[in-house]
Amino acid sequence: MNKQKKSMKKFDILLLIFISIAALIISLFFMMKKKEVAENVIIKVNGNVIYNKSIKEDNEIDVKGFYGGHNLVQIKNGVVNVIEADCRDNICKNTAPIKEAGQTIVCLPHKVLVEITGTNKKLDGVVR
Amino acid sequence: MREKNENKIQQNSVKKVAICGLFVALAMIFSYVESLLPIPFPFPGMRLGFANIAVISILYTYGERDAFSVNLIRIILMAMIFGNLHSFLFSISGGLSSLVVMTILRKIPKFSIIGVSLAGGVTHNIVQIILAIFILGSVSIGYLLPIFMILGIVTGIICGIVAKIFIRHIQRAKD
Repeated sequence: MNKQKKSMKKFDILLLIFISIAALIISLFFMMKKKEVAENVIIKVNGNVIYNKSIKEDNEIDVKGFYGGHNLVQIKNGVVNVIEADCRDNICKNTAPIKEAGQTIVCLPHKVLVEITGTNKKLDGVVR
Repeated sequence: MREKNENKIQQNSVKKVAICGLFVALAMIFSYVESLLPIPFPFPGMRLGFANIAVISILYTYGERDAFSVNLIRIILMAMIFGNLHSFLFSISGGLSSLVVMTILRKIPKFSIIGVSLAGGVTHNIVQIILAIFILGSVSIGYLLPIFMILGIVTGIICGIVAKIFIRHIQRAKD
């Protein structure tokens, strides 16, 4: 253990601390954004919004992927899930269902993004 | 006397080709094994970046040119054999940028190999997240950035430690 510690120089540790602090600041930034109530479900294909309705509205949306293919997105009881997909990797189907603002389910081969947005789209103040 | 020197040079360059080829294979194995790990990545094709072990080893024994060659060849081969367009994009963006950062940092004597590999691991992950944001057209995936930065530090340090061991062995085999 001593031999390995000797190989790290001071600058390495500085770099490590710098990156850790940067990561901390970024995570704080995102954490502040997260203190929101889930409001809408937005579905985007290649950045274009094709669905934007309240999460309280139960629905099943058949999303057409950007290159073809489809994903079936189910919104039920305030929980969003991808229940069907014909992409090769099925990562979107295997992703856990989401229900908090800011959470996302992604289907990369189809360029589909399912996102839950909160009450504040832009952070211009936090009231506690 | 001259012939002896020429023979030695020829021998060394043959050794270099053999060793670099070996490390391309090694990088590919690392890359494949880490793709089997049940770690939930947001997108297919994102990798932890352990193939950098092989790249760093070559970087510190044979220099930047050979390191870039080894890196590029293993990325292309991996994409051709195992990958699709997306995994190739993630692989080449992460791999190239991390190697560029590492070659630059290596020139600064204040950084040891662990620091260089640490930076390489972090850049690799940051670039992958940026690419994911770009492909999706939404910044919301960015909340993964801090996790991936810390992950990059850990994998980077591990890569550096293992690379050190490999380098010792290459130095012995080189001559």
